[in-house]
Amino acid sequence: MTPNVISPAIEVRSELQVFANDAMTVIGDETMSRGVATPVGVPARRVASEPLSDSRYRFTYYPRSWYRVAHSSDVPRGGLLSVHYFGRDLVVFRGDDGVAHVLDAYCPHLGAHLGVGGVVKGSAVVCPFHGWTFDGDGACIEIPYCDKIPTRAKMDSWLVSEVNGMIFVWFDQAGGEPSFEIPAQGDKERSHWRYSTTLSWRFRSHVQEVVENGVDFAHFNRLHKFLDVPAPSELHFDGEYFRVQFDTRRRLMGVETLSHMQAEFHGMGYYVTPVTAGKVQINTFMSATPVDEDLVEVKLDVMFPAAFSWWRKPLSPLVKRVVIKGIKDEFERDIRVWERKVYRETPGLCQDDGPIMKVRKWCEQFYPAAAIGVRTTVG
Amino acid sequence: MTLAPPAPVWESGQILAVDGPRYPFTPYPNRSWFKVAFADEVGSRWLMPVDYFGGSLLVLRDQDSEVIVLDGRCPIHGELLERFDGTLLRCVYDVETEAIDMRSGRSLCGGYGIKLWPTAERNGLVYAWHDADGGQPAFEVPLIPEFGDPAWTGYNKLHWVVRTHIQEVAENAVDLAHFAVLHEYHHVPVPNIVETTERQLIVDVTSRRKILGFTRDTDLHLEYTGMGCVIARVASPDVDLVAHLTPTPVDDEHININLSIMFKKTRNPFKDWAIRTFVFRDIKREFERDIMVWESKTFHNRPVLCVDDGPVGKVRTWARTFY
Repeated sequence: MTPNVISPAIEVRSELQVFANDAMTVIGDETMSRGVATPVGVPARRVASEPLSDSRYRFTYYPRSWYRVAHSSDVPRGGLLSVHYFGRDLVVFRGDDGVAHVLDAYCPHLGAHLGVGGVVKGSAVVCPFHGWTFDGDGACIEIPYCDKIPTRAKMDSWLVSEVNGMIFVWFDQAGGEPSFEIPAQGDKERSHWRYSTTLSWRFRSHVQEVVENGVDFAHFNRLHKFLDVPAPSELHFDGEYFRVQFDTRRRLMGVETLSHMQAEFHGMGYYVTPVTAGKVQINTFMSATPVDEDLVEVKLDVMFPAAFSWWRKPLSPLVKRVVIKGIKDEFERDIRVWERKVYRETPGLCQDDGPIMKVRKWCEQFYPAAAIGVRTTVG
Repeated sequence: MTLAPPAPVWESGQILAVDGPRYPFTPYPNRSWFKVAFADEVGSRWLMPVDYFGGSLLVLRDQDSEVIVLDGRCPIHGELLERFDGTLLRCVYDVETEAIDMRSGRSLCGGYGIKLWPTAERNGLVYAWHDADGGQPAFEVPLIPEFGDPAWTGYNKLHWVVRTHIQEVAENAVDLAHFAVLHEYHHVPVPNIVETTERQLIVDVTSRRKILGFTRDTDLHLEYTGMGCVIARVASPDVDLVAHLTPTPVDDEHININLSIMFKKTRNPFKDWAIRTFVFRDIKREFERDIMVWESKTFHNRPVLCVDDGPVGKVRTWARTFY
């Protein structure tokens, strides 16, 4: 089950960024805003008490975890892809032997970007500028015009794991070894599900918001118009893994439907969320990767049962489209909140809010120990 | 060694900028002449606004056809100076007392001055002298005797705006190894001379390369005078050309590159046409390969070099005198 269709990334950021800039102008010195025309249709708003700052979160934007940097199908054999995650430029490439590697993008020689004009030769990548060749471990193995390779000619390589049609890298600012693995789908599961599409977004938030969202039961009722506030039927923490299950009632295509939802979190960057709504089953692989100290990229691979195909169920293509549109709309409601919210270290919670603090406690294991000590109360 | 040719197209801004400035030195080198316009673009009856050095400049001529380069914004309002009646410049607010006499750069109401740039008109180009400390020109723009010579063609112009630093263009000339790989010479050219003086960098390189289908020994003589004015003479048995390369900083991130090429005419009009068409096309293609790398590369303050790399360090030391 490899994803073969990549939907264009939806830029939710742009229009909301206009708001942010505008708010800054109003807060700032009056002379700053002189002569700056207010964009038509965008009201100049004063942000009440907490102006947006660059550090909305008092902890790092890059908790240690496995993060998706590409889909397997983005990088065929001999393919080279430039990506930007964790505030760094990276290249993902796959050698002739089929093994994917992730390296820093810039050549240690004179700094050319390997992803712009570079080519894959064998299982190594060749810099476009001077032809220096680097293997998957980042060591320089050939300089075409020079026999002696300098000992310092080495670049940073990243630990790669390719599972479920996605290429993950292990990111740990402290440089530690991976403490858990992303489990591959079993054969039975793989034959049961069929990949349908990938939804993709980039927005201003933190990966932890995406994790917390899964157990914020009250927001399902309000923001997503569920008919009740669900209560978890299972909440299971196991080291770097946790699972939550709940049943809820929703109105889908005008019909009140009982749906069963489950979310399995494998670290901070990868979540498997199978959902059963009435007779329709779906499974999603959701991955959240920090882009820089501002943005998060979420990709959502949507899968339907292989049996739910147009020759068995003639209406299934229509149902699939409606379901995918529904997921997209619901997710974008969340994005609108995430883009503008602040992070409350000590939120005012009520009884039925769900196990948010438990999940925050679980999240703490992914931050460097020193960072947790300096957390201070905001708001 | 075989290498697939690099992708010929690049997208500006394809790579997200890393935090902080890209280069650890100023984007606007000092004590150099920089091209701001072509002479035939500038007239006494219209304003030529250009965006260089992180701001707007105005290039125009007075009634004696002397070229004047001045800051393009009204010192009072900060608006663009857009109205010009031949002697006085006014900004959009058009208050009589705020008119600026362009010869002296003084506002007629007194008090407010506007920066006049030291200017030179030569080789069919208009140059302005940039020095952040406000120093006066220490040297003249070198003359290109081939310009206007009937034995040579006029300028064949190429133009790019590139996200890079002027120093990359200078380093590129002595980065001999990249000719072998990026430009597919398949051998590292031999430097005859690489020498630097206070204001000049002179590079003379011999290489074998394919021109119009024949592989010939080609001699490239390159002369930097300041950071913004390069005269390159390429001599090979078939083709003689003079290329005037003028990189000018546009803003903190981008530079404007003009490459004006003159070919020596032969007796054969068909050959002239072939040179103008195909050699010109090859130069454009090779230059755009460099641009592809410049747009996306990072700057290593202490690069890992191997023994056969050219004298990059020498050029960096020379360039540092302009910061």
